Amino acid sequence: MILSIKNINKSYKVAGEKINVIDNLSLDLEKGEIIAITGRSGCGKTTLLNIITGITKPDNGSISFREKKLKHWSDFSMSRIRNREIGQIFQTFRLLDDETVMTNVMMPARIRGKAGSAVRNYAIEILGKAGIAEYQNTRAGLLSGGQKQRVAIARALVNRPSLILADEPDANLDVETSMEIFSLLEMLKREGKSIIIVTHKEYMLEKADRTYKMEKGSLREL
Amino acid sequence: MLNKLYLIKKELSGGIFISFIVFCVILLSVSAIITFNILSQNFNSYIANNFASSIPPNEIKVKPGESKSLFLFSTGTGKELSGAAINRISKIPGVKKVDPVMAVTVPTSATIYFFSFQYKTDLIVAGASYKFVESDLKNNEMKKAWLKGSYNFTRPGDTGIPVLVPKTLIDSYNNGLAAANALPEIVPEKMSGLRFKLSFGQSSVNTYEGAYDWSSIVAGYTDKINIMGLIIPLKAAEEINKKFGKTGRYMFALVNVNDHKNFEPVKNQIKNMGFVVETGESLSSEILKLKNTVNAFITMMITLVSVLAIVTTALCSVTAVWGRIDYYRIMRTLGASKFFIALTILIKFALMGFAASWCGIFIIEQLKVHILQSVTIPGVTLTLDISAATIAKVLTAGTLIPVAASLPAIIRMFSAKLDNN
Repeated sequence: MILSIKNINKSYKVAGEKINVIDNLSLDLEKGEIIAITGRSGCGKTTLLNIITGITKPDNGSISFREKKLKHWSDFSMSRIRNREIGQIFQTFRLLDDETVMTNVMMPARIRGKAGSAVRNYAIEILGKAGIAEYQNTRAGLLSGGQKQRVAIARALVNRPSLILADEPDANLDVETSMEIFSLLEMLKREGKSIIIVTHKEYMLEKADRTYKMEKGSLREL
Repeated sequence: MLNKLYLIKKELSGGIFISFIVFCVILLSVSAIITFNILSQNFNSYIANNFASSIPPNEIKVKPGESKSLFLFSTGTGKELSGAAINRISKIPGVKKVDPVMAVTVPTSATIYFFSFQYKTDLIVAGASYKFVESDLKNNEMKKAWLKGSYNFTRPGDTGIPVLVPKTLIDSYNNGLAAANALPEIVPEKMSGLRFKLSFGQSSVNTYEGAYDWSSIVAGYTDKINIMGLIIPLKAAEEINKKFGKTGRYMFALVNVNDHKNFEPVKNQIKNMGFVVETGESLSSEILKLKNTVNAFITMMITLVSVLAIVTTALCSVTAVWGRIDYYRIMRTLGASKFFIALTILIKFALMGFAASWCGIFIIEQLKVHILQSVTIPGVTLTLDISAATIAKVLTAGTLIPVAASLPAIIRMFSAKLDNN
C-alpha cells in the first residue's frame, strides 16, 4: 500500500458559516495504480491533493504513506515527503517562467540537496521521454502549454517519487496533447509509480484503474 | 550545501529593482548616520578642548571645606585638606589617582629682573607632583630637576628651584600689569630658562626667622593649576614647610576616577567628608547644556534616519516578498520548507544590508580626504576618523536592520498561506 487515507475531514469558515469540504473521506492506493477523481469545481478535489501533500492540514483523520502516518503538524517532515516521495503536476504548470527548462526540472533536486551529474543525466533522460530534451536550455516561459506540462511532468519525476499527484494536467491543453500527456502518465504507471489524477476528461476516467466522483466532500466509486 | 547556496543565489537575484532600492536606502542611511556621528565627535572634542579643559571628564577638583564664620575673618574653621585626608580619598573605591597641590604655608616673595628693572612681589607658592605636571615640563633636564626637587646651574654648587608658571598668572600679567605699566608682555613658550629669585619666609607683611633666598628657574608653564602664584616640586614644598615648622596643607587635589560610572559615588563620598568639590558641570553648565542639546539633536537625527531606514526597508521587503509570492509557492510545492524560504529571505536582506553598510563606510572614507582639504573652520580642527568600534557598530546595525525589517514581510507571507492554486 502506497497511500492510505482514513476518515479525514476538512472544513472552512466562509462568511461565518462552516463548510465541510472533505467529509469523512477514506481512500487506499496500491503501487502502480492510477486513480482518477472527477467532480464539480469547488467540490474539494484540490483540497484533497493539498492534504495529501501536507500543504493543507486536515481537521482530523489520518493519512499513511508507505504504512507510516504523515505528521501534518511538522512542516519540515511534510516538506521532506513532498520533495522526495511526491511529484506534483498542476493545471497551471507552476513553472519558473524566467528560468530554463533544465533549471525548472532540477529545482526539486536542488531543494533536496542532490543535484549532481547523475541526477542531471536522469533529468535529460526524462526530458527525452517527455519529448522535449531539445528545449532544455530554453526559457520555460517561451514554451507552449503542452510543452510546459511535459516540463512539469519531468520536474515531478526528477527525485524519483513513488506517488504522482496530477491536478487537471490536461485542463488547458487540446485533446491531442492531453492524450500524449496521459500516455506519459501510463508510462509512469508501468514503471511502478502510483498516480492520483484529478480530471474531467472522459478518456482519462475510462483508462484509470479506479474512478471516483467527489460529491459533498466524499468519494463515490464509479 | 552547494545546492542551498545556489538557491540563496537565486533568491538574491530575484526582485533586483526592489533590492536596489533597499541597498540605496541602507547606503544613504549609513552615510547619514556616520556623518552625524563624526559631527557629534568633532563637536564634543571641540567643547572638550576649548571649554572643558580646566576640569576634564572623570576628574574631580577637591578643595578644603569652606570656612563658616559670623565675622569677616576666621582662623580656618573649614575642613583642612591634609595628607591624611588625601590618603583617605585615594582609598575610596573607584578612585584611580589623586594629584594634590600643596600650599607652601610660609610668607613668600619673588624678585624678578627685567633688564635694569627690578620687580618684587609677594606671591603664593604651591607644590605639585612630578606625575601631575610631567607633560608641562619643558625638557628632560627640567623633568630631572623636578623629580630631584632642585636644579643644578652650570656653576658647581649653584642650585636653584624649578618652577612652573600657571597660564592664568601669565594672562593676568599680560593683560593687567604689563598693560597698565607699559611693560613688555610675556610669551609663555619662551619663558623656560628664565631666572629669578624666590624668598621663603619673607614677604611684605611678615618675616620669619631663618628666611632665605633661593635662585629659581622657569621650567615651563601649565594650565593644570590655575592659581595666582608659582608651582614648585612637591618635594621642595614639603621641605620648605618642614624647615619653618609648618605641616603639609593642600590647596586642592585633582581626583581621577576609573570611569564615569564611579564619578557620582566618589564625588558624593568626598562631599560627605566635608570638602568642597568642583566638577566639569559646575564650571561650565551653560556649555554643558549646549553640548547636551546638540548631542540630543544629533541622537534624534540618528534615530530619525534609522527609523526611516527601517520603515522604508520594511515596506520594500514586503513589496519584494509579495512580488515573489508565486516563486515561494512553487518552491513550497516542490518541497522547500517554510523555514528554508524564510532563511533565504533573511540571508538576502542581511547580505544586502552588510554590503550597503560597507559601501557607505567606504564612500565616507574616500570622501574624507577631500572634505578635510576643502572644509576649514577657524579654531576647529576637523577629525573625520571612523573608529573600529563605530565601523563594527555600523556594519552590525546595517546588517540587522534589514533583517528585522524583513520580518513583517515573512510573517505576511506565511499568514497569506502558500497553498493557493
